[in-house]
Amino acid sequence: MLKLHASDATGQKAVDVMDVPADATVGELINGLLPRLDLPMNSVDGTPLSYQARLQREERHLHNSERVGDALKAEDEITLHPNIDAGAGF
Amino acid sequence: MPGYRFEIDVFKDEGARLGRMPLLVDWLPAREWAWFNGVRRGELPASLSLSNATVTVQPAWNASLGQPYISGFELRVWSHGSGGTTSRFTTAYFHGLAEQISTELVEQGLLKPNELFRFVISAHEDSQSAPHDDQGGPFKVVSVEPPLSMRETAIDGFLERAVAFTPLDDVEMPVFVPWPVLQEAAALTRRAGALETGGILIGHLHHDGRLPEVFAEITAQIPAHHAQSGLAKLTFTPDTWAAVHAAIALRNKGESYLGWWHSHSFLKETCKEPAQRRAGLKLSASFFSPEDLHLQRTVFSRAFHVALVAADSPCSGLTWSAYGWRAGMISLRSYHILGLGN
Repeated sequence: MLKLHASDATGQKAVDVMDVPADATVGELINGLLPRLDLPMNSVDGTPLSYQARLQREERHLHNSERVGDALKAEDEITLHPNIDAGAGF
Repeated sequence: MPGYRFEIDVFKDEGARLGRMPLLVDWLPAREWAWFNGVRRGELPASLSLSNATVTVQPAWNASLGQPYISGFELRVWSHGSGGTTSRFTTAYFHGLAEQISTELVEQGLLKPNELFRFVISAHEDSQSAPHDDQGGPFKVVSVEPPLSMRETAIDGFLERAVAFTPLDDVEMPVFVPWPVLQEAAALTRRAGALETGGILIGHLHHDGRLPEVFAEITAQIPAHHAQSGLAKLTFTPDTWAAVHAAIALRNKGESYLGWWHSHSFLKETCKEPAQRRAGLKLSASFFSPEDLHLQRTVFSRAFHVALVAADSPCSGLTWSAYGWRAGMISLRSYHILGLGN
């Protein structure tokens, strides 16, 4: 089990995450964190909003398929970055 | 103290009732507004983060219809030893949800497209619900939201150097944008042609304890590198956010994320010929689309976050409009420009 620190893109919403199963995937970790950080799970059209976790220690975005136990260490800091559209809407 | 669950009754314009549906309310913008207003008014300390405060909801019962129908609600934000604050909201807070439900009713054939409808909101005591539920999950999460970082500054110095745009409103937190920042963003907008472009606004929050008031000073815009530009769409990618984070760290000025800006330049394709220009003068690219609203809610959900939209067209030239949170909803807002004419 790992303890991590997670935040949204601005760093103004942040949580400590305890007891993260090592065999969970990064994608499962992200999906579990979204409601806890009050981040929307869906886009405007109802399709899932894509997020990637950026690992501060390695300055890279993790693949959602990576295992938490393989990619992360205790006290690691991750930031959830959305792939999100703005626009004129037509 | 029990929470409440909220429901919506929808009616056709002539009065026929279409049904009652439960509402899954997004309380975060309302909680943020209530908490931030408390900080602005000096009723809550800036050191009290929203996640460490207790938030309770109280329906405001509709005087004409009586319980359980409401005309709005109050959020009380408080913490032992730190004081408390109350903010009032109208049922306008539920308009977005009502529109979503009307879309579903159109899909079901119960409403025609663009048909007018009416709705009323009701509140029902529910001991299992509260405005801010800990939703459980596979691991334990504890909020460590950082306290609001603010500088103690008299606002007078900013007001003396600024020109106000659009009517000012005491409800709004003052926002100061340097003219060079707008010029940079305008240059990026023009360079992008008809494609959308954008960036992130960073700066400082200030607290003037004499009033009291909190105001925002935007110090820079960070271009949205690695964003994908289209005629009517701008995608902020994970690499965009990583690049902004790196730029802020490199600047090392203690700046915070204060918002974002983007352009609506699609009218450049419309206003090329004289006849098109005459028609284009009736159109406006100054608006906040559903996608823009969603991005604001997803990334810039703090009550002090703002957005600027650059509307560029050969018909109207380049104009700026500002948007921000107001009573938990996004609306057009005022702003000050610093250094105009320097």
